[in-house]
Amino acid sequence: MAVKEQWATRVGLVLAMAGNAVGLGNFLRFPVQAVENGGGAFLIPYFVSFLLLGIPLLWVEWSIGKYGGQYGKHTTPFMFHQMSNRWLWKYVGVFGIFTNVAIASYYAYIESWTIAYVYHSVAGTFDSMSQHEVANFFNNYLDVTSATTGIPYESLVFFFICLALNVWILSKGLSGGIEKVSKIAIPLLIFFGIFLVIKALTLKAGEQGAINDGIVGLNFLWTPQFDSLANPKVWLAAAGQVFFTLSVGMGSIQCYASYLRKRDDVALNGMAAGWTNEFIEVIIGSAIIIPISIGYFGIDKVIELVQLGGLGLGFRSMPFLFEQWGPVLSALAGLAFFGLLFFAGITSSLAMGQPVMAFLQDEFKWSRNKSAITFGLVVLILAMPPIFFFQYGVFDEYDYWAGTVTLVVFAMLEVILFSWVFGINNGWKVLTEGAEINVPLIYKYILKFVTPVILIVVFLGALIRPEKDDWSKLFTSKYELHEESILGKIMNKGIKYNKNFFADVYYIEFDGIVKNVDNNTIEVLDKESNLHIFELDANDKPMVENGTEIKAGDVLYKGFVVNKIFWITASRLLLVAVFLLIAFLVWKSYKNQTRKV
Amino acid sequence: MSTDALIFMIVSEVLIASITIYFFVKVLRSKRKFNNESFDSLENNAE
Repeated sequence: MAVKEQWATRVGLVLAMAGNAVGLGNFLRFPVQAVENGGGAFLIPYFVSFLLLGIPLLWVEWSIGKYGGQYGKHTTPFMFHQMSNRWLWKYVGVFGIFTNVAIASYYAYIESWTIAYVYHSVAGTFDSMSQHEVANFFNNYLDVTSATTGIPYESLVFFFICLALNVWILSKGLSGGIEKVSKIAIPLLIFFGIFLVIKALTLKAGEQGAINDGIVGLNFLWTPQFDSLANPKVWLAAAGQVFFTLSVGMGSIQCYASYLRKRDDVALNGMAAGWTNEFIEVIIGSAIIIPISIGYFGIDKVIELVQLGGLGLGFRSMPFLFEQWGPVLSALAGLAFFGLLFFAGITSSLAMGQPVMAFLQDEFKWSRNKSAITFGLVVLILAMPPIFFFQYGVFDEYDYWAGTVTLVVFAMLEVILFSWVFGINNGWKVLTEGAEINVPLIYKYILKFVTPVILIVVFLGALIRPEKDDWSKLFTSKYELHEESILGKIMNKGIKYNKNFFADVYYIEFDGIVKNVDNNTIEVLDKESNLHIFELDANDKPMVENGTEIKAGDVLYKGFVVNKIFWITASRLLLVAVFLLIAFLVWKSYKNQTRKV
Repeated sequence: MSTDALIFMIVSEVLIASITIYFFVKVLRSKRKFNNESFDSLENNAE
């Protein structure tokens, strides 16, 4: 039997919303974005984006949630339908369930790495490993089939543990599970963060192997490069960072807000949750990985490492850096850092579970336990492709389509629905009713004109992003699509030579030098010194030798090849199938409701 | 640390910390408001 859910306390709701927003990106993505996009000057477009995009979207989503909740709707398809009875909107709302299921399937996997790394930090696995060995440990950890990290199928074991924990908490309900966890997780996360910030900022060159003071890294991150402000790429990056850090465009904020009572405030609650996220991101997030890694590696090496992204820096390098502090402190630092990431992760993955729970509870009258277990099983099944075919880019495909593109599309459409279809006057009334702060009137116009335009620009920017982010060539004959642009992705621009699903020859996609060839693998070092390992089957025949300099397009080996493009296409089709399945369930549920009426 | 970097860091962090604390304290202090108005007065586009 479905149970009526409600938040027990206001602070619990705000912490749960903040927990939803605070994720791994606060600690791993934000500092890397700041370093790559103008240092301290990045904060200018970042704040502008927060005021014109972040705050309006938070208010829109809180308001939509509260409005839908008054009619017993806790998921976006039915909330949107309540706001406009045109058939299209409830299918736009399907994104608000789809993204949560799809993102949870790989996000919970990343979350499980943090549990594994807490375990290995405390168990002393990283003690006396070189930096190369720590980086290799991560690669081995991700290679499910040949896990050499000590526990058979280790990454799967930790994934099951992580997923079971999420399901168990979700089954305890909103106030008994999510709210209780948030009240513990957010303060602990801040405590761990402060411990690491103090440790990072008190690093002294010459002590414990450090080559720079911690403050050097902080200086590097915050030094403003004002010329970067003229680059549209920096503004798009800032808008993207604000967008993704707040977890908007997912349907989870609307779901959480739908359990508010009729006259509850959303304006102040939204601000408190949003600014708590900013506090954790800018103040704590900026003062951990960059100062510590620059302290030990130096600026040049860190510039090289950030190209791999925050995840690479966090999991491939941080355990090695903590090692320099001695066995006790390194265990504590590992516990604090990966524990902090775990708390950031679980408060977000729970927020992804709740809309799915609500959908099953509301529309099919399922119990909490049944809904939570179903969510767990769906995530488990959907997680298998990114886990087993990680090296074929399936994980990245999930993240790109479900975790990036659909969020922007969904947010763009929901703002249009709120401000133009539902009507800004109606929307404004929902937002300001019961508000415990004065919402500046200018936001009525920002919501109606500015935020939709910014989102359309962000979407178009992603759609036609030019190669090397060189926007000056946009209207010239030299314009080329970036391989990460939406159109570039659809056209598989990143794949130049292996364009068939199946082939009997594998062509190398980049220039490099062959470092090792044996019966099982070919190792190739690319120009950026990244080592690529190609695994061979028994019938594959290497066509290169040790030390051979190879160019993109050269044959690497012969044999039956299932190319990456096959796995990428299959994962895209799978995501489309999941979306269509949810859309079908929404249609069926809607039909049942209208029949009853 | 360079002056520019220090200024940017201090201004940004003090601003964010002050605003966060202001809103959070307001949440902690405020009592739930109740009034009788409902959403029934809105123009509802749904069936």
